[in-house]
Amino acid sequence: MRSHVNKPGLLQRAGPLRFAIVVLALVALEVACRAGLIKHITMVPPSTMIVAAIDALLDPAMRHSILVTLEEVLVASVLSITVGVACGFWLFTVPWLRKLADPVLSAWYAVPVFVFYPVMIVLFGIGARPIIAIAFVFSVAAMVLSTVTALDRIPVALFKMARLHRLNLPRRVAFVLLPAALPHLMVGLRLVTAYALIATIAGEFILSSVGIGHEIAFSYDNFMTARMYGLILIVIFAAVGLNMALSMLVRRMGGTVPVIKGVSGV
Amino acid sequence: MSATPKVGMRIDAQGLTRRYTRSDGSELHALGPIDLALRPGEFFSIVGPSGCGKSTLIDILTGLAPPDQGSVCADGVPYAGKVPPGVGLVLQEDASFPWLSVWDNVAFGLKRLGRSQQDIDARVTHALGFMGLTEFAHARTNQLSGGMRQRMCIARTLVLEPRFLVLDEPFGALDQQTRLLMGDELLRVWRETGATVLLITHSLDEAAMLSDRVAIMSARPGTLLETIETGWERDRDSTVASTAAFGAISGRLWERLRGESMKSMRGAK
Repeated sequence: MRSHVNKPGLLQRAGPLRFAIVVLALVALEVACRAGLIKHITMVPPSTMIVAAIDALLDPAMRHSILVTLEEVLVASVLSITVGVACGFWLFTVPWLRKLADPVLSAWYAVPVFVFYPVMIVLFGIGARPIIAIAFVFSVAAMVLSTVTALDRIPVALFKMARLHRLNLPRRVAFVLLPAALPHLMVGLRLVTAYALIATIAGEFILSSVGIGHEIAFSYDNFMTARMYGLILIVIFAAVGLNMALSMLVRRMGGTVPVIKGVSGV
Repeated sequence: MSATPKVGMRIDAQGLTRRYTRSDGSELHALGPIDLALRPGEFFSIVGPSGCGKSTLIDILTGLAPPDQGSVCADGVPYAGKVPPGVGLVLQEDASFPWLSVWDNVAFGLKRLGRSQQDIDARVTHALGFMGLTEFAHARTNQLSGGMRQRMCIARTLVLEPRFLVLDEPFGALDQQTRLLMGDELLRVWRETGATVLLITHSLDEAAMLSDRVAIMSARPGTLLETIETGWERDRDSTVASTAAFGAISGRLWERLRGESMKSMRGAK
């Protein structure tokens, strides 16, 4: 059996090296904060951030806020993935529609969707719904583009094999097209969750009276620096954890984790 | 693969023609008109210069694409643009399913047909042994060499016991010795299953060695120029390559194909 594991020494050490750099940076930050080189009002030591994050997680009101944010992210992500995959398949199968949609999709992220907040409030009122709507609008294009790209990358031979096995369209999609496209669809999945999280938290900063975004903004406005950094730490851990979980899922399914804009799969 | 010989499919194609529209709007006449009749259970090969429309012809004959004009029938039943039951295709390019193990790749079609687990186990075990892939049964396809992946794809097709087996340069990824051995195995499978085999190849020797009849295609638009009967016994193997008759057939094929290949090259320039 041919082994394809032939990494140079530096790459083999990349993981521990990365970890060591992060630990060193945290230690340096801790020392700088404790020594008063960085003012307490600007930043607290990492150890204090961790304690504040744990305190936040133990606080029932804060846990409720975190759950509200997660719920909004989840709803927006599920909507984006469902609509994005369906639209991606549609664009892939109807070339003229794809030609029509291409410039719109390419320019999607050139438009700052957050300017539509007032419109969303008019349409959906105050509460979770405008935030979910903004998160959806912000993330759905990534899923559409990823789906089209994923389908483009399926070798023609696999389309032929699917038809040769006389599978009807749903079975072709389920047994051949979807598994073949999955590693690249996962890029879209990871982008969707990241964009949905960004849009939700940004939305809560401005619009909401609940949610982790609102709690961060509240802490900032009231000079609760430690609490603010603790909450930021929770958001970072949630985002990285989600990304790692999705990458592991791809690997378990036998796929490779494609790279997103220079960021290697975790 | 099976001990019970079946009757191969009879394929009749009349006036097959295919044209494509280029991106600049001009028309490309890729194929035809082609008339072709494959006898049940015969081994038929097609050789032709590059770009003569062989892949287009395969797509039409397997039912993957309809012709613009003409008709194609399996045992007298028209099937243009619709894959009929009992058709197997082995492609030159990698058509393995990378998300499945070697075992699951070979079992793919049997599972979709709803065969019993016992039947699937027996057929897949036999096919993997037959292709020398038993020890790689649980490997992922990306752990196999190109040649092994191709053998796996052949096994995946053969376990379904197709009545019409189409092979598009199936041994292109294999070394010369393996090609000869695989040719022998293909002849054995052909004899055992009684399938009608259509082999598309660039190798004149391969076509001359394996086939009952060899057709020569012209440069684009591809038409059939001539069909040569090899006259081999059904019970044959690669040792026919050492006979004088083989040299004569191979030479005749090249004589006829040389001009077409030059035309094709000039066209490409």
